[in-house]
Amino acid sequence: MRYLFRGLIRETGKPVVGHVEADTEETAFNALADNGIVTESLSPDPKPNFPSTTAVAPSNQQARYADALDSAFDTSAHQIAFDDLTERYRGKRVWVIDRDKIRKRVAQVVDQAMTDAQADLDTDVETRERVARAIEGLFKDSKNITSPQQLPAPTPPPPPMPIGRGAGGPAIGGLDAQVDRLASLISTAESVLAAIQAAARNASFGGGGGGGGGGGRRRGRASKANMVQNDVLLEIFKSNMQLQRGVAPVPAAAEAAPATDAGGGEAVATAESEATAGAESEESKPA
Amino acid sequence: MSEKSTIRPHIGKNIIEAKRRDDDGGAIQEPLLLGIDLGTSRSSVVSLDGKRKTVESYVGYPKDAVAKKLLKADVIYGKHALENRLAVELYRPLEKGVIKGTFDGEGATIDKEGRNVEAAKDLVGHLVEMMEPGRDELIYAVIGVPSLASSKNKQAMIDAAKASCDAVMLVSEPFTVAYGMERMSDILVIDIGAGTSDLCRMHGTVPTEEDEVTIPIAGDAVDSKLLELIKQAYPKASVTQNMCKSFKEQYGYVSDTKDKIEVLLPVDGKPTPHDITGIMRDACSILIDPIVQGIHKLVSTFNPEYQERLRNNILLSGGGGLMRGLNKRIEVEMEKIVGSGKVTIVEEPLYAGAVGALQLAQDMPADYWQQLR
Repeated sequence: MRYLFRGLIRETGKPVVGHVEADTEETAFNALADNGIVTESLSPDPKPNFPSTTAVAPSNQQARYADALDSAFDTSAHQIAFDDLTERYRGKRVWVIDRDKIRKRVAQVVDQAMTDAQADLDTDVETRERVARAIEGLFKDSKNITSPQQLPAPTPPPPPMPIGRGAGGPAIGGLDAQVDRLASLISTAESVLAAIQAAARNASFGGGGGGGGGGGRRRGRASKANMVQNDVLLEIFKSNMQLQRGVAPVPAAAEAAPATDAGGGEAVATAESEATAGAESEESKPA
Repeated sequence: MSEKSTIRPHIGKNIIEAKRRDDDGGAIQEPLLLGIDLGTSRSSVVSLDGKRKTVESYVGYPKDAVAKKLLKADVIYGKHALENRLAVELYRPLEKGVIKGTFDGEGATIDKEGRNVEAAKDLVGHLVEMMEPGRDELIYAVIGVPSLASSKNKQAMIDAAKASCDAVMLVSEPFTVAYGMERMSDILVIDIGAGTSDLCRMHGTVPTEEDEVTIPIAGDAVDSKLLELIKQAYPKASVTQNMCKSFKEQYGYVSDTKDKIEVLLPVDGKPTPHDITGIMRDACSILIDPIVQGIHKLVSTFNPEYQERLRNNILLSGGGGLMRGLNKRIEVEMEKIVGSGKVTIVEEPLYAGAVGALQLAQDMPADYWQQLR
């Protein structure tokens, strides 16, 4: 049995999709694990059998083409959140890709093309070209592969709950709900703000300092700041590598040539360039 | 791999490159980067998708089956553990910013059974879980450690963190604050925690020992002093150090003017109001002199051309940064010894270290992370 799997490569964390052949699902999982793949999902995907020489009835041929198409659909589909889709197209009339329609139309078109090819006594190459032209023509018109649908119209929102109204309404319950919503909104806003700040920082390094005196953009020194940053990251990485190897990390000052005076821009540049040269020569050594 | 099972790639492609999914609800494209500030009293964690949490650094293990049934958990954390401390074996696994039992200084706790190390592991695991990582998601974390943590301290911290993270880097805490603010030169960071107050001057590279000063007087010392002063002033009142800690967090100040602070303390079981206005200021003020001395040391040994710049760029971070009037008071005391200066409180002192650590994690090249795994 052939299975379609989706998973991650354990070493690199990259996603991967493919097929695995195994007798049982458990065997398939084990095979994938043995090959360094962490399986997220596994579903049967029987291999389509294309007969090589014997002629078969048209209905069986259509079924085989349909199986191949299903396999293509599964492996080329992308998942998106359904809620995003409904929000975007709510109340509108849309054309939805219709798998059944595609199966039938492709099978019909291919079958017709091959019948015509046989009638015209086409060679193999000519037959394949005829089929390719037929399929291309089929997919040119999207109405051959879609069907109209209409998503349900939006339901009217419930009336707002009365807050702080005397003894009449469910004031306390309404207030609690409003407070919960407010708390949730604030939490979401904080998250979004943090994400925006991170994105803004990535957009331009060296700009937008935080609190404290003397802050502000240093656009003119962006490239020098990048050098400083890279050296700093390298130093941090090296000290952590030493730690993890069980070696006491050597202070940065002992590795680089000592600067004559601590602090200050120009003196730092000298020490940094020497440290960078030292780091580069160390990195070039074989692992 | 079984003889009967084979892995076949898609036609014409190697299986590893069969398909790359760009958007899939379940696909995990990037590792989860975390910035963690492990503190003696409070630990914070932030992740790249904007989640941020802070928790008191307490870990509690139910004492018996009854406690386990009551608490419905094998381990509890933070305020929940503190509130149920009678039913749990309560651990505060960090001391002076490092794991207890790994600190060799005077008065260090000896952790014979390694319980504090286990508690530290569980605490880090809890911080990671709060960020809700995906199933099988890689987790890379940068953790802030005190300036003068030894190799032994750091090794223990890495061991504790590796149980929950795929790759870990340790960085000096004041440095993470400076890095998060993109201020890596001509700046002095003061990170006042519970166990230690760390001072660190930045001059464009990773700070060395000469650039860092660690003072063992911080939040816990203020709590102890407050307890001592209250007991002296009101010997009949019943008060604990935890109560003093909450008073400090609520009312702590060092400025000249303050409204009256009145707290309820039990006297023979009856809650009775007590005025602790002056006591609070005296207790909080014990931070001032050591910090100013530390500033003096770091400024006076700095390149004289840049000393003024350093004095005017002092950042206050950590829980102690929340103390009212501390920055102004430091400026006043500084002027007598070091000269005039400017002390600024970072935005969100509780998260500044974790945010800076996250920034470092984000800027660190992927290759470095791969090699640390």
